[in-house]
Amino acid sequence: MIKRIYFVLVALLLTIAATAQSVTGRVLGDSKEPLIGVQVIVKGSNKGTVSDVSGDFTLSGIENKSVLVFSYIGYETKEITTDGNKPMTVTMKPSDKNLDEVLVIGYGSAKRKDLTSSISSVDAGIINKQTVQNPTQALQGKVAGVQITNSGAPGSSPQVRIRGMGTITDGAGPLYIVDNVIVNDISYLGPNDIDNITILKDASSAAIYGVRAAGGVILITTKKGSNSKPTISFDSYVGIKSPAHVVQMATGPEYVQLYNEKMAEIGDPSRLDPAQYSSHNYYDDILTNSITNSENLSISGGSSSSKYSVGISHLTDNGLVVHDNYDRTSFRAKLDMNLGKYIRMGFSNVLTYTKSKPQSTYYVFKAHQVVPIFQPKTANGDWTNPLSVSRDLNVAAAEYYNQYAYQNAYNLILNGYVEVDLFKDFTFRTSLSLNPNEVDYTHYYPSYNISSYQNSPKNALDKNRTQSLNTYWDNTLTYTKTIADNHHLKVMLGTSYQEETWNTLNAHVEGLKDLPAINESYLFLTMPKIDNLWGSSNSDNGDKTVAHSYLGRLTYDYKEKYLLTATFRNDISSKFPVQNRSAFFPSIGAGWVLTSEDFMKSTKIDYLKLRANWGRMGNGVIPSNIYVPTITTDNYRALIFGSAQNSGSGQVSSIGTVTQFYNSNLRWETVSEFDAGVDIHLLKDRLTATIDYYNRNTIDAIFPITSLPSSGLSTSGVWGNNATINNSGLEFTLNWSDKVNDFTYNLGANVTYNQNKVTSLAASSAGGIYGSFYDFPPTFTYSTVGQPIGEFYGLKTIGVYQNAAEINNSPHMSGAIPGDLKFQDSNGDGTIDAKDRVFLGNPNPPVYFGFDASFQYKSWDATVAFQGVTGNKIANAVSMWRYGTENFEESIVKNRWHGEGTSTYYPSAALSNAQTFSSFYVEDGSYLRVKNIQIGYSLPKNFLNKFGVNKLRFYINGENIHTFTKYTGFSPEVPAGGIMAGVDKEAYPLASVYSVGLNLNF
Amino acid sequence: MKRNFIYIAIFSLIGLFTSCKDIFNYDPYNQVPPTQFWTSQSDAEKAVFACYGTIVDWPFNDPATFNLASIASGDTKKGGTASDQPNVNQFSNFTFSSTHNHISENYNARYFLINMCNQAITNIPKITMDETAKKELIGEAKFIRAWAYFDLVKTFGEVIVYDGLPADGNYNISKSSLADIYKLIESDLQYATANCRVEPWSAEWKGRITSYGAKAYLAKVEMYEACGANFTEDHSAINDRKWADVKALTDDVISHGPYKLFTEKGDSSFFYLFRIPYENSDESIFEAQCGTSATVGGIARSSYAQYQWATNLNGWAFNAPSDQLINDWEARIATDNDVLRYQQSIIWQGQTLPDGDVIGAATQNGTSAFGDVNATGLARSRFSLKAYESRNDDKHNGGWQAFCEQNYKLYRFAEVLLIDAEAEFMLGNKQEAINSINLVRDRVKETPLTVSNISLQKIWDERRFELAFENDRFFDLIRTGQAATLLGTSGFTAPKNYFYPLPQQAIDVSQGILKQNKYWE
Repeated sequence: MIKRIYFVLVALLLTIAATAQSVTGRVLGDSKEPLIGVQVIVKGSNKGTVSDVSGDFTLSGIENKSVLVFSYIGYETKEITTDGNKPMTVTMKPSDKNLDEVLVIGYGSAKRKDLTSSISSVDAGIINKQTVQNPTQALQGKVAGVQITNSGAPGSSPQVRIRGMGTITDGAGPLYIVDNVIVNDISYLGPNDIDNITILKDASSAAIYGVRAAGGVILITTKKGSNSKPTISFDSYVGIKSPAHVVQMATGPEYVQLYNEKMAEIGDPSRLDPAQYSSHNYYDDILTNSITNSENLSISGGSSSSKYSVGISHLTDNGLVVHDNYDRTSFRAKLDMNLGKYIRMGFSNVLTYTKSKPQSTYYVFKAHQVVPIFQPKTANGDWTNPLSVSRDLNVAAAEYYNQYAYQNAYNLILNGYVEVDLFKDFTFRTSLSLNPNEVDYTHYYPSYNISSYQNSPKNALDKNRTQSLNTYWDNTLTYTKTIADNHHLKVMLGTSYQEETWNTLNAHVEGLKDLPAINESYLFLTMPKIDNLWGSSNSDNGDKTVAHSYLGRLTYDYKEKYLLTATFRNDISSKFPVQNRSAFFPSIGAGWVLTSEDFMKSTKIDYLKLRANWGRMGNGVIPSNIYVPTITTDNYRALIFGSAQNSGSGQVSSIGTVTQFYNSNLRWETVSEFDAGVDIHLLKDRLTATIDYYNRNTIDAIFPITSLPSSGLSTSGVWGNNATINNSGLEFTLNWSDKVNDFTYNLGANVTYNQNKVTSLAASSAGGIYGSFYDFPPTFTYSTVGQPIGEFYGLKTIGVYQNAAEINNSPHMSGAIPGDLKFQDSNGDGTIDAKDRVFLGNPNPPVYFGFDASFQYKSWDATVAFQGVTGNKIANAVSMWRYGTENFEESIVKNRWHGEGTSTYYPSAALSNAQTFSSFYVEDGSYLRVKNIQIGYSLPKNFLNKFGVNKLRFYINGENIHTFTKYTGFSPEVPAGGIMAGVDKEAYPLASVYSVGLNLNF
Repeated sequence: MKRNFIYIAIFSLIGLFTSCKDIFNYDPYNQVPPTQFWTSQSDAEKAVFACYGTIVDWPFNDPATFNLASIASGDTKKGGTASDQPNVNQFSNFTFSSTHNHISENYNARYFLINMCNQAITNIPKITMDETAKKELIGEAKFIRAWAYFDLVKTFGEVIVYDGLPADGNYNISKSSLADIYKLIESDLQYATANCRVEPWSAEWKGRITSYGAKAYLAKVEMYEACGANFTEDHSAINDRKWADVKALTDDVISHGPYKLFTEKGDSSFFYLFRIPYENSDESIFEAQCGTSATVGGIARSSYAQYQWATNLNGWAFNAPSDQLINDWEARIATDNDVLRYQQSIIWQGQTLPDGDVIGAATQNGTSAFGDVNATGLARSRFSLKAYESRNDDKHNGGWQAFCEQNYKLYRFAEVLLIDAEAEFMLGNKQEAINSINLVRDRVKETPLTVSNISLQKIWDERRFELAFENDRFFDLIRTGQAATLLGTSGFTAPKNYFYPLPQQAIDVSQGILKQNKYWE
């Protein structure tokens, strides 16, 4: 009996032992290295273990055919079914950091892999590396579809164009959002304060910003804290900044020679005697090298319940014009806290103080023009008067007397938010942002008398104070739900309120008496004056814009394999008349992650996603009050009647009249875009590529067109909904990163191909739109249906008249002399005139690109970056700007026509056709720039750890090292001006900066 | 419990905020709302003053005006530094084209002025104010509009006409015929004659338009119409105007109007007529009211005087008397004793001004483009003395500009007398003609004309030398049919050069509606 019980017991035990097995195994990484600390859990239970030093694990009491779940940070979670007690070898694949990256998108965040739209992000590392003043400059060439053009003037922001020129208004660029606060530009932000820049390129991603989104959206997050002990980092560099390239001008003797030649050619008896004049290069008086330096200290850290990041930074970055100073100090702080389980709150602030002495780039323009035959000062120390030869400025004196400009600017960005988890699955977030800004500008103009053309009998003082306050209040309610494990749904609804006010106060006095010194201590409007008069003039102006919006987003995915996103936004803006104030901007997108499908599991493709979306965005960045008639009371038209008019202090009869067009039916400008893209990762995620096709239509584009001169109105142009423009193109982004032993390298390239075309014009401009500057008569561009916007339009040069006989035998050109440019008689009527104008080139670059490479070998690292554009043309209006006595460019000196047969392309020194726009002034705008080279060395970690230091890296850096281009002007980057894009009216060189720096982390 | 409280607070906040529709109810910043302007007499005055003030602006006294009116006639030359705006020389030899910047500047400025007149003419009638004052202000605006259109029709021939602001807002219309343009000018001047005040303005408002002023100007307009045969396509008078119509107007103004020649300063009267203390005298009918203010910056900064003045005295020496004018004038000294007026119209390098300043020529280097210190005869620098403002009168409120107080005369009584002389002569009334022309000649001590030696040529010549540098000569040559003969060697061709081409920019922007002058296509 007992023996039978034993038998049963043993059988039972054996049975139990047979079913409840032990499973052993080893966990390895993708390079066959053992992974330590991998969690191995039986699915559905809390039974588990952790892999040991050799990657081995043992689990006992496991049933056959159980599912074991292996999870490890940085690796993709894997599930494997047991097979009896056979030992298992489990290889885990690193998770694609790229795909898991959480990106900030409009009013929320999402993982990159769940996106259906075209979003690019640029990491802090890439931005922090560069020694640029404005973080936007750091983006140049880094992102497909984003074309950045430097505008030259110090402190000015570069122009950003996303996916071609669709929006034409000068002020329209992308919408910048810094830590959820809308700002107008990011020039006050130091590159070191930035954690990440995300660019929303297409309608589907940007549509949620509705009214401001037509130019794309650039989201910036500043550095935030983390759940770790405090890390301190200190970054600093010092460098030399110098002008990259200036246009070489004639020397004194060369000028005299060409002047005399010119006078002979036009039959004027005046001559200059070379013995009377010397030679001077006025760039030396206007441009200068400067030292630039930056220091940045930041501390971040936190705990599970609160995270903080604090930073202080300083930058000195003087401009290239003498006397220009720029000094910026900023303080930033961010705090994110968890209050209990359901409430999170935080605030962030960036406070910037900029002190500068802005100098105008106008002096570089004049240095390019003034005659080089006089020294700035005569032998006895007076400023030279150039009027005997040229009714123009002594530019060295002009800059010297204009240097007393002082600017103090304060900018604060403040944001606070509260996020509450309401009933199950609902989260409410409210965020309030304030952006007060003040710029105080003082300019003292001394009196001087250099010539009858250059004199100021009384000194003068200008003071200007501009203040603005932008307030934004956003509220969102989000519902997140996972249905049946695999369906993930997220619905967000929100409202946004925006109010922007600014005002500017200006006062001007003249005749200050005997200032003890010229510095900010004495420059007050109440200082004693010669005539004891108070306030020669003052002005006051301001504006308020209000907008109110409703928005929402729905995201759905099934197993992160089928993705769907839809957004909507309704905007109401004060910039449009009552009947057109409201606009609706929807978008919808879908994605399919093919590599999550079973049929793709066997391929070598690591990741493949197809996505497509469509959306509509708006542009409300236009001047206010375009739609209302305005009364001008400008003093320029006031006058004094009667005998008192000659006393200098008679009673002024003030005026009031209307001098501006207004457009009472102004409508929203909307951009409607379709985008389709592929994201693909190959070769174990070492090669990633993104290809996007986009087609954007800007409908009812708002921009000014030249008003009809006979209307007598609006010399600044007639604003209205004037055209529909299409931009379509392809973007390619490729990235290869790999590691060979100790050598890691990363290569990236992006190329954008964009085609721009005007598809229709408003009835009021049905025949096409001519572009010209108000203060310079020639027409430069002509935009018409079927052509790119702003295409150059002028006479075609076909050679140079060699002699009088040739002039007589050619189509009639009024007033032509030998040496003049010869133009094509395009319409064959025997006369050269405005009717012979043809299209001369496209200022919109069809291709723009960037390459960069970074390498790391043991303690050394290096980065190289290139960017450029190709296929576009530039109209060199700076060369054209010749009324009479201006200096000659060296290219004219070397190549000019000066007798029969001496030139068939360059005209004579007479430059008689200087103000006729022709193909002679249209140049190839392509360029390739070596934008950045940096080489760094990091001291070994074990050496540093002795001092408690985590990282110490030294580097040398070169910025804008060289630009390869055929363009003869100062810089092939021509910031566009609406329909006058590509017409270069600026003479300001780019700056090259060579610096050394260090990064220190504790 | 705590959470419910939070929910309530949050939702009520949302509710509150979303019901704020009146956040959009605020007035546009820093604008006088148009509903608050055009409501009172003061607004009406402001609108009319804007018209007067615009005439002071650069384009009405810089190369945009004197190139076309004076340099083209050969009586003045560009002057100034040789290479300063050399394209001005194109008016001396008729090599300019429709893209010349001064042609577009001239055109744009006059239309700018016409817009301001139209703003007043269209909007003032709606204002509730004293009817007499209302009509008078509209009369002033119409006078200035007529003056602008007269300038345009003399310069360009057929141009676009706007009688008030276009009701449909469409400015892009085709140009009108000469007859229609002159009709509008006449109707404007007749309205001004009927509604502006008959008695002269008080001292503080001297310079504003009067009824007799409009009537006097109408005489000049009708004179041009009567001469239409010399420059129109159909070779006949415009609107059938006759010299008798002209005479009727001039007789009325001469007999009943308040105007008389300025003779207070005896032999030097002609010189003092143009000086600052005697601006807006009884001889002046219409002047540009230039004068600055120390307390109100930016007003009335005219370039008239500085553009034409001597370089050593802070001027730029443009529009200088030509050799031809000098020669013809010096010949006239012998034939007509026109010596006083010659001396009081032109000043030479080396001469001294009443304030003690000496007219210079060269600068540091002697071989410069201003002139040679050692020059003699016609090689010497010379300037229009009519532009002279003494530096003692310069109030220095014009910033870097100088001489902003100097008015320029746009129409004066001396010309009315000469128009009367011409009209009387054309009607065969030689004695009446002599009566008028000799008043002008007596002032400057020229030998009086007699019934036997008066001729049309003599009357035309009197105009030339009385009104030198007053922007009349070129148009007078066209009107009288002398242009082809006198300017043929300079490149003038008839009928092409009767009018200037419409600016190319205006043609381009109109996209085919505005057609270019057919001789300039």
